[in-house]
Formats: sequence, structure tokens, C-alpha cells
Amino acid sequence: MYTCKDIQSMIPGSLGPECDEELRRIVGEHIASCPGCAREYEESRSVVEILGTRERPELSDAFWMRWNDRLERGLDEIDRERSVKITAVPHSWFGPRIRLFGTVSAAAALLLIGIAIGRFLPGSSGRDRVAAVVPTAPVSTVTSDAMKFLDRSKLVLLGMDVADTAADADFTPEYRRLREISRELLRESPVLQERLGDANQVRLAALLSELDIILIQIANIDERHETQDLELIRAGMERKDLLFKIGLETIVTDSMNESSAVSHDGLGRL
Amino acid sequence: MSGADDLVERARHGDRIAFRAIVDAHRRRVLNLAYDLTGTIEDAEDLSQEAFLKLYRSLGTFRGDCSISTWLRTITISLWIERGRARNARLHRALSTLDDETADSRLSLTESSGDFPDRSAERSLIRDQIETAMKKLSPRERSVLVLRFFNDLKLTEIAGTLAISEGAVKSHLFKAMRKMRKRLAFLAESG
Repeated sequence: MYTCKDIQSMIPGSLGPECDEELRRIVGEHIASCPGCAREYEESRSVVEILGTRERPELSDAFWMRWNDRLERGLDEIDRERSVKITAVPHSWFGPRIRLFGTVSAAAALLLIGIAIGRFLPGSSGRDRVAAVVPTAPVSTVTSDAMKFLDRSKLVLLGMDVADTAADADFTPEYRRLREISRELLRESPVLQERLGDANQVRLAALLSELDIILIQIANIDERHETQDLELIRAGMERKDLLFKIGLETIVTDSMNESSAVSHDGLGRL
Repeated sequence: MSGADDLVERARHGDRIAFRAIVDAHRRRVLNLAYDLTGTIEDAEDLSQEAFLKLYRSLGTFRGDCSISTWLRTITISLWIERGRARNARLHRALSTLDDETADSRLSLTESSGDFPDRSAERSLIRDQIETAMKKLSPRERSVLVLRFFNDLKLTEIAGTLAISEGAVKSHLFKAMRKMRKRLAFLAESG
């Protein structure tokens, strides 16, 4: 004799085409005399019906041509890798020794690079260590604060893109957390934008202001209308290319930091 | 030896034309499965490409215990589950670096409108709702649901494809249906 719990766990397997006939029979007999399980069955059947309305996109010949070309390139690559593997290690005795030599050489090269960096980077000499405790110029401080802000915003945006894939609950803890972080960022943003007054920080300030719009939307996600809100946010992120712009800003600032570090180091040594 | 077996045998020995024929015979099915799993055509394209490249790399280890079609299905799903794990691990790592202090909401924030699209967009709304509901499933739950209701596989076949017990398939399917019912209840009522 099956319990209602047993029957309810059998319901999904008894629905749709190619279903288990035995399951269908057991479930059918039970629901005929059990209104609770009959309701469960009906609800599940409706969902399967809705799933049945889902359509797959029609793909054009152009799509398949592109798809084939891409696959051919991938296959060529694998063939190339294979031929390199075959020709690169002709003798089994050499293989491990060549790899060992390669590893030792790479380690030695890394060690030398490390020493060189340690020697030439600011902060490596006694004089530089003294210089390091002197407060840096206000402009670089605000830029660095802005970059930290962008880093945190980037994580929020990336989180918005993927958070729901792991979620079990309706409104996931990830979203709540992202919403809270967005609110914090929004509190910091106006102060930061005011501090970014320098002419070469105009682009950075504009990016922060663009981010504000999306952050406000994230901070306002309504758990009751989560789906609509998320769609709007994702569309906005995509339209504004925010992740790309943050990436670009990071590269520009990093390169500026590098050149300023070199010139600062050079001056310190004069 | 059947024509299909002959193709596999030739492809195993590096015959690209034979492999091409295998691709032509299965690409549509693999892309459909990839679309069911990922929900976007761009991701489905990536996943289906990856699946065929993995098949090409691993043909040497194919023992012929199952059909190429079953093997391709298993490869596609494993790749997708792996991707999900990597994606979630990246997100959790990233989030753990952020300060999780809760904020008191002193901002004057605008209320979201919550407007629904008009009736002419109903089909698109249903599709979006199904997709959003499916995103709430774990990779295993989604795989089981997709194989059962979009690819019409029997429970035993799903168990074989995912290398799990039939009991586990039932359990994943049950959980998946619970979540889908919760998310799609309003559509069922309005329909």
C-alpha cells in the first residue's frame, strides 16, 4: 500500500509521453480516491502542459554555416595539438627530462624576474620605505577609491548575471546580499563623484554616474516582482556595456599607475 | 557492422569526413538539448560546439556500449553541469570578498513599477516565465526535467545518461516539479 507521500513522488514520472505505465496505473488508482493527491496531480499536469508550449528557436542556414565553420576550426586545433604532441616528444627517454629542464628553467626565470621586480619597485629600498609612509597625492587616493568602488560594483553586476542559477529559494540570499551591497555603494557614490573633480577623472566620474542607475535598480529589486526587475536590470547592464567599461577603466588606471610608479621610482633615485 | 558503427570506426581513426557525417546527423539534437539546458541560443551554440569537440577528442575511448547519440547526450549534460559548478564557485568566491554588512536604507529609492507586458506579448511572457523558473533549478534538477519532458526520455534512460540511480532521478524530478509548480502556478491558473 502506497502512502500519499509515495504517490506524490511518483506523479512527475507518471506524466507526459514515454511515461512509466506501471507508475501511471498506481498513481491513477490512488488519485481516484484521494482528493489531495488528485489536486497535486492536476497541478503537475498543468505545469507539464505549460512546458509543452515552450518552443525552440528556428535556426537559419547562415547559423549552421557559421556553426560548422567554428567546429571545423576547433577540430583543426585539436589535430594540430595532436601532431605537435607526436612530433615534440619523439623519444620516451627525453620526454620527462625535457619537461624537468623546462620546469627548472621556468622556476629560475621566475626567481630572476622576482628579484628584478623587488630591486626596482618603489618600496624596496630604505628610502622608498620612508617615502611609502608619506601620504600620497589626493588625486591618486580618490582614483584608487574609485577603482575599489568599481571592483565592488563589477562583482555585483557579475553576481546579478549568475546568482539565480544556483538558487533554490524564490528570492535568493545572493540577491538580498547584492541588493544590500548596492545600497552601500549608492551611499558612497555621490561623495566619490564629488571628489573626482580633476579633468582627467571626467570619464571615471561619468562611469560612476552610469553605474548609479543600475545600482538603484538592484537596490530596489522587489521580491514580489523579482522576475521583471531582473530582466530590466540585465537588459540595462547589457545596453550600457558596463562590465566592458569597468574593465577598460581598470586597464587605463593600471597603466597610469605603472608609469607613475616608474617615474616616482626614477625621481627617488636621483 | 552498421553504417553508424562504420562511421564511428572511421572517425576513431582520424577520418574527418566520417566525423563530419556524425556531426551532421546529431548536431540539431545536441543543439536542442543544449538550448533546453542553457536557455539561450548563444550558450547553446557554445555548449554544442564543446560537446562535439569533446566527442572528437574522446572517440578513441568510445567502447560502443551505448549509441553515439546517448554518449553525446551524456557529454553535453556533463559539460553543462561542470560549467554550472565553475560558475557558481566563481560567484561565491567573488561574493565572499565583499563586505556583507547589512545596510540601513536611508536612501530615497524609487519603487519598481511591476507593470506586466500587454497581452500581445503573452507567448513571450510564458517563455520567459518558463525560462526564469527553470533557472531556479539546480543543474541536476534541470537536466532531469529537460530529459524527461523536452526529450521524452524514460526514467531508466535518464538514470543511464546521468549515471545516477532511478530513485535519484525520481527525487530530482519531484523537487524540480515542486519548484516549477510554485513558479508557474499563476500561468496554470490563468490558462
